[in-house]
Amino acid sequence: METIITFYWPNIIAGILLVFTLGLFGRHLVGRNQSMEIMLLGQEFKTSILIASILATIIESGEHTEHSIHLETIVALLCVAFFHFCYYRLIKKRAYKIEGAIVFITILIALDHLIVLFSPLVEFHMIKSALGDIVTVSKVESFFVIVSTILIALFYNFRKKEFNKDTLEIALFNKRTKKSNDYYFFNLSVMFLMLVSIHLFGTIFTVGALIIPALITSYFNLSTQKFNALNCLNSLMVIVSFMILTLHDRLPSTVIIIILITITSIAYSFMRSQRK
Amino acid sequence: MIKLKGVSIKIDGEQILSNIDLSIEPSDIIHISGDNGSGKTTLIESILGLNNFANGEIIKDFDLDDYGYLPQVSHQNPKIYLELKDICDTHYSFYPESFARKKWHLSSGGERKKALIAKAITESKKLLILDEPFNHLDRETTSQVTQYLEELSRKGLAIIYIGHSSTIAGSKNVEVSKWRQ
Repeated sequence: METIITFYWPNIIAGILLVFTLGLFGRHLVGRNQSMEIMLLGQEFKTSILIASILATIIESGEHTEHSIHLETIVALLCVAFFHFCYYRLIKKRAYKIEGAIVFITILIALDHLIVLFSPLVEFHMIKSALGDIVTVSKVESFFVIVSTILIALFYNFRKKEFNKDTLEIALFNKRTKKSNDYYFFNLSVMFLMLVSIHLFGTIFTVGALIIPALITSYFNLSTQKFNALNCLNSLMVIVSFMILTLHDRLPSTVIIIILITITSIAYSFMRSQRK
Repeated sequence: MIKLKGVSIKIDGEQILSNIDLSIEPSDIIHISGDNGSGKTTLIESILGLNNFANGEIIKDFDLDDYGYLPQVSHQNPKIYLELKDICDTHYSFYPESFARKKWHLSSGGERKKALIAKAITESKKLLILDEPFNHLDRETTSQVTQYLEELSRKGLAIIYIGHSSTIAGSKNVEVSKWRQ
């Protein structure tokens, strides 16, 4: 265990900070009724990574490192922007946002399998973009995640009053009463976090860390303070997952984290709700 | 403070309202009335810049920090934990401090409405807009709110409210149907 921590400490810290920061934003996304949209964004990122991988195999000669942030990332981001633009343009009626997202997700999953059929070389990328692996993240990438999540968390802390206001209004009125830039800063922060997280840790980890704790605490009507306490607890599940991996190293790390987060969220929320 | 000249409102290619001429000054109390679906809320949100449906001249002498707006409430069960004090922690005669720790999901429609009206009033410096503010309120609270709004109007606040009956004394009635084609 000591060897694991000595060798993987940047990965562990990156994982802890990412779970924590995703949780902070996830509470607002659930409050704003955007859970389905996050699911859609996750799938859009997955498909975009596949498209970018195919283009990379055509354009680039020779091998490139798996996780390096380069042209592939930019192409993936452009594809996500395109897919989401299409979603907003086609699904104009608010009442159909959820069903529209389901249709888009289904089409994108079908597209994933078509892409893999035509180019089996990218099947590895499809699995990677879904599952990710905290263990294979390089030290440079881990430090990048650590620095960016700290900056975004600080930014969140600085603007949380405005974010709370927007979330409250969207939750109650389905709209904001004032069009300020904080709404766009919030969305940009979420997009950036998702890009980094999906690229390194996969969609299941990202969407799970964003939505699961917030949805469960919302279901049990737990206060923001209790949610924040749970968020800290969930972050520590990254360490627990590494402990489990020392015993069974073939298990997918990010899946273990999400299962632990879910169990912790349900247990904590249930116990706290009984105590009222 | 607000001037509309020859404004029209179109949604998805359909003209809803046209040739709107309206002027609102400080201390005005404007009651916007009309049938269901006549465009009252859309007109208000066009003035506030919350939609892109309006064409024509809209001159405004206020910015984001100057107004408070209470829309119609659409979600009675939001997916966030709320206490009434999270909505507004400034108290008024119709929204006393005893309300502070009430939880949203355990509050009545009237209690929620009081908190939301208090929120809109607290945010308004030059302009207050209320969409159906008196729904769910009992007679006593309606009277308290009305009196408070009349006092605010005397102090210079412009008030626009949408409702099916004119409740505030001294309000100028604006019937939206005169602008419908």
